[in-house]
Amino acid sequence: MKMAFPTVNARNIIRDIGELNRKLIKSAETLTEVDQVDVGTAPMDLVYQEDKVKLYHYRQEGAVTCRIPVLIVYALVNRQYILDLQPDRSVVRNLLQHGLDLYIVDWDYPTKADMYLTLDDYINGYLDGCVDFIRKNTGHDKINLMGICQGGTFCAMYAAMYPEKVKNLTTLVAPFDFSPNDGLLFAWAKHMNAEALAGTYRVIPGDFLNIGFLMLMPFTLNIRKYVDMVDIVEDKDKLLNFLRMEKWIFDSPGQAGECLKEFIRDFYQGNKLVKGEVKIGGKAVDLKKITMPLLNIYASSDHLVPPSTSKPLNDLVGSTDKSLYEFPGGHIGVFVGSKSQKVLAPFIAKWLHERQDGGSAKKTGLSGVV
Amino acid sequence: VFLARNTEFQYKIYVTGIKAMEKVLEAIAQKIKSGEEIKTFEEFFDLWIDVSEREFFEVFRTEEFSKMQGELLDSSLNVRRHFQKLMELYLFDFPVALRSEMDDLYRTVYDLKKKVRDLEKQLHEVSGKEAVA
Repeated sequence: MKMAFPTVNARNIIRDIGELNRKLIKSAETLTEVDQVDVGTAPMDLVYQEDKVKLYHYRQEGAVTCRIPVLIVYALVNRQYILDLQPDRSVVRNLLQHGLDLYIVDWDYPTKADMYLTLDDYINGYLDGCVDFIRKNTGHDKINLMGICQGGTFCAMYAAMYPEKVKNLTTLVAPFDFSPNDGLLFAWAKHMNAEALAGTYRVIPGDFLNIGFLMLMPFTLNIRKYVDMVDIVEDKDKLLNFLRMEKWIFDSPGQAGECLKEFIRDFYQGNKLVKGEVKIGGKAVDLKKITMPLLNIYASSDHLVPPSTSKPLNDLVGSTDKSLYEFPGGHIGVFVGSKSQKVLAPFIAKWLHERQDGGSAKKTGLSGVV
Repeated sequence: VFLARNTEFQYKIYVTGIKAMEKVLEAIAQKIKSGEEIKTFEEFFDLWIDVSEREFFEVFRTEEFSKMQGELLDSSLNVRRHFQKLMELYLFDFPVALRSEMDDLYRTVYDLKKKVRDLEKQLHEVSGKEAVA
């Protein structure tokens, strides 16, 4: 193939390289000024624990204006403090400021002693324990569930099995229909030997999952991100936020083998949830039994949980008050993006406030695609 | 088998990388032909990242790649399992707890915990009913 010889502006490139070196030297100086990469700083109290799983209650410094407590359930993959990654961009702080009474589940880091934990243990055991604790301690028969990513799948299943305990269900960037292959994770998981994976590792290391995540966008996540970092290293605050995100990305708990095996086999490969074939601890999960108000939020450019996997939930539930909300951005933007803080979190708070007394979408005009 | 699968996988990545680089050069040639100039390193860098990312994504999304990756994982797990078995044979006479023994222990603890939790729930339900009565 004949190709024109690329002409380059050598002077500019030499200047760029010089500038890059200057920034790198400066970055070393800025890094020495960073003492601690603090995350999840909103004040909270440990109120319940079963085995390694912990339930935290956030301290509400203002007035609680939404009576029904909200339980936030994050995925088993990665850590829940993404919702409070930096003080000035925190979904948790934002929701607290809007008068919500917040609880959050911390699944912690499973060790080999937890290798036999199943979805039944996580949902019918730990999650149900957390829900019952809140119900008992607040005197509310029903509480609000807010499930994020895989936590959203868990919450939907929980709400289907225990509708009498759930007042309103909110799901954020959560997969329900696992058949589409437009997300690489969904395509790759279909050819994974889940049995061998669980049997060999017992607890699948977080690093194993991280390699998969980094391969989704290998050039952007392994190269561009760090080259771009050079442009912000002179600003201590920006660098600190970059490091907070890095800390979160690589702070990946291992996955209990039995549970991950079930999730890959029955969800990614069998797509049993939408078929109504999932049983958790012998209990059938029929999504039609979700009759409480539903707010299902997906991100338009989500490459981890594509919209095609989230949106179908609204057609599968029995709820009449159901809303589908499109967040303009990606998976992580839902937690730390500026629109998340300015628009999404206030919207969730408003949606929940309007339904604390059994209000319906008809009153507020919030049904359908928002 | 693992070595064969691994070589196959690495070759796929290598070939994709070569193709991606060819496309990067084509894109640069196209710019030059149309009278444009790569003015800064950043411009070249962006082009390289964008074109390469796209090329790899196209390969990663194929059924062929997913299968190849799945087979590589399977064979690497197989190697790992055999290695673990071998280590257990070596360590059998040493005064250390073997992984298979720990697995048994974990299973027992897990089963007992589950039983206790179920019994606690039943007890709670019964005492709740009695209180109502």
